[in-house]
Amino acid sequence: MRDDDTQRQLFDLADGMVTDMQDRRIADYVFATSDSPPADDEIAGLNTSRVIEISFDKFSDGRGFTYARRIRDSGFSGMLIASGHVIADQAEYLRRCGFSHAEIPMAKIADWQSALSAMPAYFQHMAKSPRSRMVTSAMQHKYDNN
Amino acid sequence: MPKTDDIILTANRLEDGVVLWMTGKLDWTADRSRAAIFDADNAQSAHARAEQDAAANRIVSVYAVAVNGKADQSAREMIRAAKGPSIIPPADKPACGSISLDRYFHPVMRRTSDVSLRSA
Amino acid sequence: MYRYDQLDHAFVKARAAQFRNQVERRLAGALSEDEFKPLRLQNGLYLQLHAYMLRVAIPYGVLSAQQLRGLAGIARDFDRGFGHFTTRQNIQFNWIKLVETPDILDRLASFDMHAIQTSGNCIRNVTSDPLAGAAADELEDPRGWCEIIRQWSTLHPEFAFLPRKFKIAVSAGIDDRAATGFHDIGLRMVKNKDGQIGFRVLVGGGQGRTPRVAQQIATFLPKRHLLSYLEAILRVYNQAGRRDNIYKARIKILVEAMGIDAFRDAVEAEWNKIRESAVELPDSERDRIVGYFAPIDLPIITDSDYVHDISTRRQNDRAFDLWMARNIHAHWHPDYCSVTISLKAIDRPPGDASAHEMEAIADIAEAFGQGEIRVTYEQNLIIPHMAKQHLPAVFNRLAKLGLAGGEAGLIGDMIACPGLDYCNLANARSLPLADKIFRRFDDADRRADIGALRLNISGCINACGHHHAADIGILGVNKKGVEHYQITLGGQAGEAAAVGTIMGPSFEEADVPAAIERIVDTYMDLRQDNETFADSLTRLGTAPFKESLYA
Repeated sequence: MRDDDTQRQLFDLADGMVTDMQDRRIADYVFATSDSPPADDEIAGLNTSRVIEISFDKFSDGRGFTYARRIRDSGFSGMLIASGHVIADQAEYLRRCGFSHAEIPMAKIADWQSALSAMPAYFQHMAKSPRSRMVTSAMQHKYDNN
Repeated sequence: MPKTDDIILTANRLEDGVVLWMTGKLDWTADRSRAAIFDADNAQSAHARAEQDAAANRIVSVYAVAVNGKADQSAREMIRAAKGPSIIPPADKPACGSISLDRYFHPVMRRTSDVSLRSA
Repeated sequence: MYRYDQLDHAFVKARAAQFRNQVERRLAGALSEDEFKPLRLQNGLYLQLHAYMLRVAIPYGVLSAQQLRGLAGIARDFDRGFGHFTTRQNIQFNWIKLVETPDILDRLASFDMHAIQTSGNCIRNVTSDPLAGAAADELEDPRGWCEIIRQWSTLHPEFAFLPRKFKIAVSAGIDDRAATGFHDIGLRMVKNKDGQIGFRVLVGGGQGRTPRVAQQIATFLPKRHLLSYLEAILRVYNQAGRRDNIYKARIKILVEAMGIDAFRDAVEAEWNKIRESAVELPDSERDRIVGYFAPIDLPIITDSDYVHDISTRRQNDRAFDLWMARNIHAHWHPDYCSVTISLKAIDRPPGDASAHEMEAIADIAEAFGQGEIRVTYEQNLIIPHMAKQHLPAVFNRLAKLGLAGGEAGLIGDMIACPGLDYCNLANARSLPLADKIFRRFDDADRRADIGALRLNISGCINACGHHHAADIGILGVNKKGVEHYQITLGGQAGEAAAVGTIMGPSFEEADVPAAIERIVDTYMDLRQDNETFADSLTRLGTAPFKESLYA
């Protein structure tokens, strides 16, 4: 069940801080998981300093995670916001795929904040993921580009 | 003679998965023999109560079983009522020693185990 | 085998704590059942017919004796004293309470186990050859690669909400004992003409409603590109797999809809963007993980009297002879072997073992093996690296436990899903039928005479019993409220994977054992030389079998 708009906040996936919805910029581009995947040239054409929103029509529709990674891989460095139906337990998945923020119901802030510290590390090497297991491995590897 | 739209309501208890049936008092019981039959007039309040209990996080997976001799006496519903499989798993046998070749099933199923579970 | 380090320990402990928090929120209503269900599935917890069922991960089927004892303890303390080993090399417990599951996960973490991603629309347990590291015919030990894939797929943030479940299997033997042909991705280790070892990649296999044999997407994938190529396949699937219909959501449907060539092009296009990037596995990490699977140091056997002892006993002890003929598997070391412990017998649901039996098997693995146990696709257990000199003693121990009477690969070695006795999805029971069939073929000499024959039983169209991949497959259906069974012939799970064909109208349960016997008798009448059942079927076609079935 979704809370109505006035009770949603913008949650920063990096540090768990929240800002009011009225303070946030309207997205310059919106992708919905229920749309067909954006084409490569559409992603390449995104202005790197804007705000992009990816809207999940169902939290179980995992396409949004791939869209986010593709957008980040193309060099996008602006705000990438997950909206629609996303749940606290996805916080780390969202962050690690490159989302900077999520729109969440106020009532769930505590759940989202504790979700950010649920796991001590992860296996996969992802961009901007210092707790990745493969990064903390003893020997240097040549692909660390962060 | 039950009418074709009479139903029994059944669900699983959220905390442990135990199979439950709704009683005439709109409460839940683990005893199949105390399951109430709801006719068209009563079904609505039974369903409403079930939804309430699901929303109150007591039960999950509610569904209605038609009381028609087929659905309510299907293999599935009989196995659920028996609260266990129709064949005894290894733990219930002696840990060592020779294993008896006498076939036996869960006591509740014993009467019907050799018969196809046809409707009456 | 892989040894957990501090980070691995912290990971499974934190995962258990995370689930405890999720259960608390569910019980308090802060999570709805719709929101909670994918979360509990990703920790292997199903709601089944009588209770919750927990599927514990046994990565590529490898267990230490300590872990097997730990599972016995869970069976005893949280379940009804037994567990069920599955076709994906996992173990299932059938009588679990939701409220106790956090304690179970904590206990599992204490011996380096978990239930992560054993269900849900995510990448599942990576399975492999149960003889890996001990096989006589393998190119190299595939388990290092299984562990690499396991780590790559565990809590992979992009692929936690796929259109549907995703199953990967890895095989490195000449014989494919991992059924790679029936997996979403099958990886077969091969050598190219330059002598390098890499992967032949298959995609789009599966059982279920629409069984398919996997198709080749890559002839030779170098090892260093394994993870980037897998990412590319998963990404194409995540974006393009159907989400409107759960029966059309597997990758096999997508591959068929696009055609393998177009699918390959889509994967290569994606792969070209990410290969040589951060996704690739660093050499150092690869070496670290593969290093855990270096060939095992086995004590030299100086005394060769055992050869004569075994030979003599085989001549005098028919039960021992039959056991030796089927349950002993060649090892790369001439004095060693691997031993199948058959979990198939009268009054035993295929693949079930009691807590006591698990502990006894752990003891045997420690006393006579190298402290390791494997779970097989056929729902048996294997003790690898056993010095052949111990075989008579091991047979004696197993016989006392009642675990020496079944033979791997013969008609009694049935694969059966739990069926309607346990499963919410089932249409019919599989376990009583398996028992009836075993009783009909209860004569060990007769089973030996029939020879290699795979008979699999599924209780519904989801085909968890892999009936499509069997010489004789049995599918339970619901015909107007009555349990009926369809028979298929001609399936195969190995190198030459094939889907069986339906013979005709279904049978009532009481008629099935006799029907199976008619098929077997037809084979015995018509076989030539030393043909297996599968050979006869290929030579003769299904006509004579169909005729005897419906005579």
